[in-house]
Amino acid sequence: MTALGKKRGVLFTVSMLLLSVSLLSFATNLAEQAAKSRSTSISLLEIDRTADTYADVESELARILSTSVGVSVENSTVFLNETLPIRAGTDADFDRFAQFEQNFSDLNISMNLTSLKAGSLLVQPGDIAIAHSQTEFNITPIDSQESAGSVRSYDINITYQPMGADSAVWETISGSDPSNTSVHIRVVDASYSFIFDSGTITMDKYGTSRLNITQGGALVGFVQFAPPSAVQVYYASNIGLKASIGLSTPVYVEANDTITVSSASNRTGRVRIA
Amino acid sequence: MSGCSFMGEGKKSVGNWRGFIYSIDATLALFLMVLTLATVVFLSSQADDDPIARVQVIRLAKDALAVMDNQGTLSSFDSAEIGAALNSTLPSSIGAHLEVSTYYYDIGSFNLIAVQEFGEAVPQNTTTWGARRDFISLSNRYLTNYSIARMTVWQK
Repeated sequence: MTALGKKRGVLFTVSMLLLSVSLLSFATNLAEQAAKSRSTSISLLEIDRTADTYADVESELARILSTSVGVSVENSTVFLNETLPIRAGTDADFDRFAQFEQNFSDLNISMNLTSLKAGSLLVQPGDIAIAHSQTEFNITPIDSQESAGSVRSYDINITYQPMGADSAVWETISGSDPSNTSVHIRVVDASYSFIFDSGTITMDKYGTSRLNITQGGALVGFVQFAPPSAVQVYYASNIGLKASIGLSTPVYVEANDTITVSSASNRTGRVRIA
Repeated sequence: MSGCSFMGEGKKSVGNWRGFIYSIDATLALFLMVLTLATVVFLSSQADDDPIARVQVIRLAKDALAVMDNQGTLSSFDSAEIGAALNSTLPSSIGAHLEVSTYYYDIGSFNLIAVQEFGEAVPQNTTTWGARRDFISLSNRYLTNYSIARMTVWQK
């Protein structure tokens, strides 16, 4: 009887012990899940903060660029609104903004802005380069189906200063081809005493065409189309340029520069302009 | 006679032993119960009341700053315009206070030239959250100033 009672007692104690351990584990798991909600929200906030800072910097860089080169995208068309040559001091503005963010931001921000300072952009997908110099504006696709092959149209409007141009004549013009590009060129001077409008014409995107612009017989600029689907605008003085590039697929515009934002979460990426 | 007393002492000894075992059981149970309660209370106290609400309020503040920056409201530094923008972009249940610090670049460094405040005063003894946006000011296509907008928001 005593032995039986002892066995029952031991069995009861062990059962209670096991039950207690299982209850303790269950309660611990429940409480841990509740506590995780706080760390999850903190992580979300950190990710959000990094992403917002990145987007903020990207937006301000695009704003600095817009003082000379305005870029917008509507689905598969890129619109450019430019005052050329690019304003002197724009590169210094980029450097100072980068320095400001480095000095005053709550997060660690570093930027490489070599392309933006040079006015170089890329239309993606397709790596279609848009480049600026003191006297030239260039759109240069890569010779591939995704790049040159996707170009469908160019619309170029050039505004010279008053009395800045008085003639625009085609030096050469390529014939139409199944792989053609639709082109429309308009050249005016600011007083509208001279207006040249080519109307919408088709060109062989692998041919060469050139429109010479003169003032008093002297060359003051030209618009040249060269293979593959490239455009070059040369200007000898200040001009306003509005251009659009029509492509076959939705696109976006970026600079081949990087922004890095570091905190509890990190983000690195290219500078997206539009 | 001696046999009867021996049996009495034996019963007493068994009773003592049983009592001792019961006491050990009760002590063990009490220990486990206290440990369980302490663990649950500690971990539950780490939980947030409503974490999604906190994320949402901060998100509203950041979006309001982005809208005001893109519309040019921030760079206007106009009190009425900024106040109207705060009222129109934030829900009526959210209070907001905006502080804008403006810097000017000169001779290799940034100099603080103005600190302006807009919106409602931050109430005491209230949980608040913050959002920040940096923006530039342009004049005739020239970059003039660099500013930091810090927004403090709270639930009314």
